[in-house]
Amino acid sequence: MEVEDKQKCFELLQLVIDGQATQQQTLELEQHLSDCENCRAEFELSQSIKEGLKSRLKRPSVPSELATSIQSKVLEIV
Amino acid sequence: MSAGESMSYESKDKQRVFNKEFMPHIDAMYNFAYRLTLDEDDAKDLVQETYLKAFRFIKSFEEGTNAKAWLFRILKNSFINNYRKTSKQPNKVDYQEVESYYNSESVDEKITTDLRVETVQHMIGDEITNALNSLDIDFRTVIILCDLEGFTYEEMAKILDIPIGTVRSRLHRARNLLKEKLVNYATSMGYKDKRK
Repeated sequence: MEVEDKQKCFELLQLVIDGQATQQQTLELEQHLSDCENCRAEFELSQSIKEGLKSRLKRPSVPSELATSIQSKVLEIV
Repeated sequence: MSAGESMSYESKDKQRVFNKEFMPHIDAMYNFAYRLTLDEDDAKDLVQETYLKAFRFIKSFEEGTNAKAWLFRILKNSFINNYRKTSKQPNKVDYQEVESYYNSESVDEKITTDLRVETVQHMIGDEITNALNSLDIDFRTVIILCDLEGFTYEEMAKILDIPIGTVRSRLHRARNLLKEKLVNYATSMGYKDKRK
């Protein structure tokens, strides 16, 4: 693939993965991915990392007293 | 006289907006603060400070608009003011980022061949967390905002006070760096590419 096409592909890939591509951009990427194994691998890898970040990163639990403490401090300002 | 009776209508209204629009985001706010500071106490202080600032400036918030993005912007600014003073590094908005975005194909080629989907799927949360936490703060931030919190590029641009083009290039670089870290983890843990 030409360098210029490849750069365009990375841009499209990012837009699609982040759910911010137009329908036409999505179609354009899909067409390209059906012909290009490297870009398909890159797409799948990027998707799996994004998915891993979303589903496997532990979300810290909010300290139970934080909300109450904020609300009582706000009352002091009022 | 109860606290409610002593308040002016304006104060009650401010409190109503505060509780309805701001408080529901406390989980996401704490998560963002924790991922920035990497310390529970600092995260708690940062969230509290952000909420108090939000209350003081509540008049500049338009009810019904994106409260979460508005709060995240305050939190990010507070973080920069409080925790980055000593580093003397302003929030970089440089052309090098954009430039490297368009010159990064060699890096991407290497990463794709060295890291496989199956390997990433086998990694546990701790490994991904360590990789994320080891990124520089600016790169970590865009990944948190986009991948964990689901903000759009436009919202991220507003939160970070940078152009959308910079959001996209920074995100691209951040993801490449994250992949490099994951490759290193995979190698150190002995994950093998089945094709080799």
